[in-house]
Amino acid sequence: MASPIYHTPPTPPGIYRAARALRRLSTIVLVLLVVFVAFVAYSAIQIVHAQPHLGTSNSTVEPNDTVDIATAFTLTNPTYFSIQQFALHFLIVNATNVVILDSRSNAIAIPAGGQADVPINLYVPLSAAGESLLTEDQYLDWNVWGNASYAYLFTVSIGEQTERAWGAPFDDLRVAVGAPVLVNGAEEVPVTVSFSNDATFALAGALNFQVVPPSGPDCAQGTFGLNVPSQTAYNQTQDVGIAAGCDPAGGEIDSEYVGNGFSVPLPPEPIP
Amino acid sequence: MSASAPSGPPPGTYQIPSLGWRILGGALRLIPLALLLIGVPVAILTFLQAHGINLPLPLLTVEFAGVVITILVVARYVFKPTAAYGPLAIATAAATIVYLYLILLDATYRFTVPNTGVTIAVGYSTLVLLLLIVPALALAAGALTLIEDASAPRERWPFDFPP
Repeated sequence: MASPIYHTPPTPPGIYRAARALRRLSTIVLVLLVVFVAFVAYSAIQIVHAQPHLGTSNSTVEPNDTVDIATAFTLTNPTYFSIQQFALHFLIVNATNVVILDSRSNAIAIPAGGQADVPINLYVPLSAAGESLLTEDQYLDWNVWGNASYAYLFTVSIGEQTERAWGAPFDDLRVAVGAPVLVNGAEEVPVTVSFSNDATFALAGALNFQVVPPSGPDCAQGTFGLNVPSQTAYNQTQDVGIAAGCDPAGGEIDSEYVGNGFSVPLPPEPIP
Repeated sequence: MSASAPSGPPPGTYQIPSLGWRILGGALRLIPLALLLIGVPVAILTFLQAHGINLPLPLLTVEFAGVVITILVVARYVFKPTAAYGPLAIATAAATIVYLYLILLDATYRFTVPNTGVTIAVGYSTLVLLLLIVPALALAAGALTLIEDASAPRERWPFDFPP
C-alpha cells in the first residue's frame, strides 16, 4: 500500500511545460536587456571624458588644381564598449550657398579604452564652385557630422555647424595695363599685378599672363616671379612689348599661377 | 447507468485563490506596473520636452499604451484560472508588440545643444527590435496556453495553483 505522504508529484504535460519555458525565457531576455542597457548607459556617461579635438587646419595647393585642407580629428573612447563605424562627413558651403565640398571619411572602429586619430584631407577644387577661393577672402560654413554606432545597440550622430574664415592666396587680385609707351621704337605697356596672399601657405612660383585684345591674337605676354610669404601683400609692375598696332583696350588679361609642377588659372581681369 | 466524463484534475491537487484575493493581488500589481509603464516614461518624456527635446512619440500615445498594457496584465492575473487567461496573455503580448512597433517607427531622439550649433541624434531601433523578442515569446506562450485550455480544460490548475 502506497504511503499517502510520499506520493510522486505529477509531471506537467508537454504543452504546459513549453508555455512555461517560453514565459521564463521572455523574462530572462527582458532582465538581460535591462541590465545590459543600464550598463551601456552607465558606460556611455564616461564619454564626457572623451575630449574630442579637431586640430588646426593647414592648406596647400595641390598639382591637380585643388586646395588640400588637412586637419585631424582625435577622439578617445574611455567607455567599456567599442565605437563602431565612426565616420565624419564634411560639407563646406560659401557665403552664396554654393557647395564647395562634400566629403566623407572612411569609417573606423575605436576600441574600448582606445584612441583614434582620423586624418582629414579635404580637396577643394579651384575651378567652378571653388574659383572664388583663389581671389576672395570669405567666410565658409563648415558642417561636420560624426556618425557612429555604440555597443551594437545605439546609433549616434553629432553635427556641428561653424563658420571659418578663408584667406585667399590672391585676395583682391588686380592686373592692370597702363597706357602704351614707345621705348627704342618699340611699343610697350606697363602691366601691374597686385594682390594679398591671405592664405596660410606661401606662394612660390610664377604668374604668367597674356594681354588679350577684344579681337585678334594676343598683344603681349609675360611672367612675374612670385615668392610671396603668407599674409603678405604683392605689388609689381613690368613693361612688356606689345605687337605693332595692337590695342588692348576693352580686352582682358588672362593669367595663371604656376607652381612646382602645376598651374592654376586665375579669373580674367578686364582691361578698361 | 451513466458515467460522467472526467471534468478536470481531482480535488485536492490544486488550490485556486478566490476572486477577491485575485483582485487584491491584481490591485497590488497595478501600482508598480502603472509606475513602470506610465509614471516613469511620462515623467522622463515631460522632462525632455521641458528641455526643448522633441519627442518622437506623442505623450498621449505613451499614456494610452501604458494604461492598456497595465489593465491587460492585471486582467491576465485575475483571470488566470479561467479559459480567458490564454486570450488575455495573447492580447497583452500583442498590445506590447504594437506599442514597441510604434516606438520603432521613429526610434531617434534629436536635440540641439543651445548656443553651440551642435545637434545630437541618438537612434535606438536595434534595442527596440531586441525588446520585441520579449512579447513575441509571451505571445507564443499565450497561444500554447490557449490550445491547452481548449484541449484539456483546467489541466494546468495543479501546476499553476499547487495546494
